[in-house]
Amino acid sequence: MKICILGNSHAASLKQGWDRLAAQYPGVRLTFFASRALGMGGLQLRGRSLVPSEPALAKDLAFTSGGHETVELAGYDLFLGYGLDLKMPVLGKRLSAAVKFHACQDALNRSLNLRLCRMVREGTRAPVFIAPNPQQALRQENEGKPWPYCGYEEVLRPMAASVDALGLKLAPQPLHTLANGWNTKIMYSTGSTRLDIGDQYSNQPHPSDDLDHMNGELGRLYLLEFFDTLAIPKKAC
Amino acid sequence: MHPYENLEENSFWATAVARRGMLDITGLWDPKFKIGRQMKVATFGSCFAQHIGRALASRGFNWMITEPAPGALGPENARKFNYGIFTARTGNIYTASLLQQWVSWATGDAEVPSEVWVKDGRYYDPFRPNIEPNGFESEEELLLSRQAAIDAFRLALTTSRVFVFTLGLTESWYNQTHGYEYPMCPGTVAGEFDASQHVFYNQDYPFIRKTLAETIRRVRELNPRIRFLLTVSPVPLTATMSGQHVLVATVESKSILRAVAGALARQMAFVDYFPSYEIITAPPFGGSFFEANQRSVTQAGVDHVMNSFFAALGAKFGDEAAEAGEADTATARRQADDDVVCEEELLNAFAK
Repeated sequence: MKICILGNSHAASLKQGWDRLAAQYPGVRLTFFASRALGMGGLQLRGRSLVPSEPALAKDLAFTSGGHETVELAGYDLFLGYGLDLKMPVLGKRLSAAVKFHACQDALNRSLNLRLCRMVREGTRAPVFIAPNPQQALRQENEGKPWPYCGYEEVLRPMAASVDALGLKLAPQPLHTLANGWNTKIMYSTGSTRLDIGDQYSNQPHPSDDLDHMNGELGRLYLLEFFDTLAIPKKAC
Repeated sequence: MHPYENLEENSFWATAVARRGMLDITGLWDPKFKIGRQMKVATFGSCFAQHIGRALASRGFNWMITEPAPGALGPENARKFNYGIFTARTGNIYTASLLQQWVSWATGDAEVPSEVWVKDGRYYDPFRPNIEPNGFESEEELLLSRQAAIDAFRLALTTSRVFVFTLGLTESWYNQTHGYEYPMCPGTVAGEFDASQHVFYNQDYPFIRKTLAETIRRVRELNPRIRFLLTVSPVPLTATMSGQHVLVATVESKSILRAVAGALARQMAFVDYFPSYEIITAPPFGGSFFEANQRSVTQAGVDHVMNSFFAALGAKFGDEAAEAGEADTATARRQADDDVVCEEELLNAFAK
């Protein structure tokens, strides 16, 4: 199975996770197309290809994918938009279902992730999955305190409904990686490094107060659950 | 010698009004107290009150929102779900008695009713019938939302420094078994009208004055520093149950409300009255601040009211109040008058 992953800096975690898993999934080929921050916003749909509008983006795509400056949609069986500014909204527990749904929809509509996934959907009938940014890691001072708003699992429902309505599928973070039902366990943020795009900052550790980026272990766990959802078997030991 | 000899120019119609152009009639309001930029200002009331909150925010004043929209909800949907209309999602509070009812729920003085209306499988709050465009998914969801609004309203009562309340109506509908008031006649937005339960009461001056005075005093018990700024909505009634011509009913209602507001402002040191009603409706302005329907207030009218408001504060208390950021007129103009949420206007649907 050929899987195309479109991502931003959060893709680093997935790539590192994949490096640890690849041998267990010989039937799967993951190709990453990533650029830091909102660099992927420079992609445009031309026919059945996503093409970069700027040389810097073309360089990032070529580096992260192992040589491809464009995304040839016909070359993949499945697509995953990972991170790309899609944040799970913080929702109060007393909000109506309608407000929760519209909040998720508005968050989705504002994201680069949805813009790219829509372009992919226009150019191919292959399944398109959309994954929000990983949840921020739990701050030390908040350990032991309950999350006062709707938990991740509760927000998944209206977010999945919003995604489904667009003909896409939601691929959320594994619930067991969360500390308090909302924030990621700090162990999955420790040691995270910057997306490798072949520049001077590549693979550098994030600052210690960066709780937004995750390490390869979170990436590995994410992919394990994602492959399980797709019923992709592991190689027997 | 007689007392009239010592009166200021503003005390005489000839000098203060007749000899002036419409927009040169100034000095209508001598504020009793300062409203500084940092002071938390809560706004509630009838449709016209919505303009006040927006204008405060656009000028950099601290318009309180105690029930904010979720951060992810975009501005269009926030408006659709009645966030950022008043300080909390109470919906329109048209009468002094509705205000008293909300205060009684917030203080625990009265039990919150359990009545809900069901229509086409959706649940509607009789006390906020339009708060969600298609009602709620379940009774439980509705009651949770209502309690959230009550809690937010309480927060406004206890932490605001200035409470702006716009009186809108004297006509009201009550549940005669339980004694509570509805903002809209049951059956108009949702619910079913039951003549054995739902009674009309066109509130009179003594009732409104007593109710509003009691309510103000009760709120002051919770928050001794709070001050009230009363206004009267200049928007005529959409419809009247009084049996009178709607124009006559409108003038009677507004006159009563205006008299109550004036009386309480004279009686209570912490209550002031701002004459937005006069600015829009008084004869010298020739009805020029109304749209063609003779009912909706034009954006120019809203602007003139709010400019007068800030100018008066500035003249009395200095730069902070007057210059609190230049008005974000572009923002204000994007929020056109037809964006005002007015449940009472729904009654128009029943005009033949």
